[in-house]
Amino acid sequence: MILSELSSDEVAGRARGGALALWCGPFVVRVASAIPAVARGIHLLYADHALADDADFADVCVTIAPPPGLRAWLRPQVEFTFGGERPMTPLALDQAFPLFEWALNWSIASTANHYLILHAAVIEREGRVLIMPGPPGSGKSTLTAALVNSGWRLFSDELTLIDTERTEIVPVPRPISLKNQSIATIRGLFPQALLSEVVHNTQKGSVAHMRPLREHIQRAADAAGPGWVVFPEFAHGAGATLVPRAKADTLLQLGSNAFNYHVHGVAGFEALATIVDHSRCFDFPYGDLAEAIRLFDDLSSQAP
Amino acid sequence: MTWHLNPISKLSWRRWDDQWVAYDAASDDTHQLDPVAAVALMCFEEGPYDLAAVAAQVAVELDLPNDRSLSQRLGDVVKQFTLLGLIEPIAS
Repeated sequence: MILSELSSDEVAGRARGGALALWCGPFVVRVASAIPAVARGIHLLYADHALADDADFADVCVTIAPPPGLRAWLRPQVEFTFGGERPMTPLALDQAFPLFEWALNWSIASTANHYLILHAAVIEREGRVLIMPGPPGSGKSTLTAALVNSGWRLFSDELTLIDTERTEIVPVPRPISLKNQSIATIRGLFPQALLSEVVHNTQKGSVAHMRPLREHIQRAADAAGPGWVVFPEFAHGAGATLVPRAKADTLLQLGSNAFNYHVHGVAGFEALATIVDHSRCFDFPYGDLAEAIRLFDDLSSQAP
Repeated sequence: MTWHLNPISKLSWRRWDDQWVAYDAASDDTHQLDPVAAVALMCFEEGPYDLAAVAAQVAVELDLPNDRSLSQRLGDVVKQFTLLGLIEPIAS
């Protein structure tokens, strides 16, 4: 059963009771929140995700609720709690859904230590994945949104999960976070893309989320091997160029983008080294998405 | 003076052309090395070496002149390895 088979009231009811559980890639995520915007966002953006059974063990439990105290009355806020802890600063009530998304990223990155996890977008084509590390502002989410609407399969716009035993990358397809100008850019280029309402004045500016394509959710169990590592760098007016980069430095950069490299020890090193061995590695300055899509099309058609 | 690999270090190696990477399981650090530093570290991994013996080995492996410039370079490499805790001196 997928989430869209529930009505919006049913989704809200389950979330209110802490009984909304869905599969996100290999994880069962349980949501507890009485905030209408959280249930509304999930109903819209996770429509094609499979619901988990009550009996399924939840890997991650995300609770979004108003913080206790007088402040809740004076200036409504929401906060994320995780196992009784408050890992994030409370935010304004209208930021409840973006907070849920950030909280879920944090929860997976902090707990799923059986995977080596990189802060990097990841997409797949022809059975090979393209890993895109990049700090905020590098344009990796915008590029990911454009590419998954142009023939690439979404694994994640934030988290690269590496199975170190098989050196395979595991999908965890979820909504893609778009910020500021990139919201209008993606709407303009891909009018069929389904975006959430825009939330303004967040810590990242204006934020909207794009619903992943149904066929990408349906293939969430299909892991794949490495093919490319690309470091995007958006700059207005920059021509799109794939500049080959050194493999040794690429390995070090991947390590520095990992949340839990130290947890995996030599297995983490061997996994990253194998990924670099099997990948073509590039820096990628770009300023135009259409040009970027063409270049990535060419790249995917070339031999590994 | 001779040095050897820190006894608690355990290195894993990868090489792409003239780019070398060594992972040290003791510290969880990953080091990027040029060929001179890589051959030197492999010497210390093999057993105790003094600077002259390392220079001779590097010169042979990399087809470099075993001269003052190489000695100075290796002196810097040894200082760096010592600071990183990768090697330690052996008391004579």
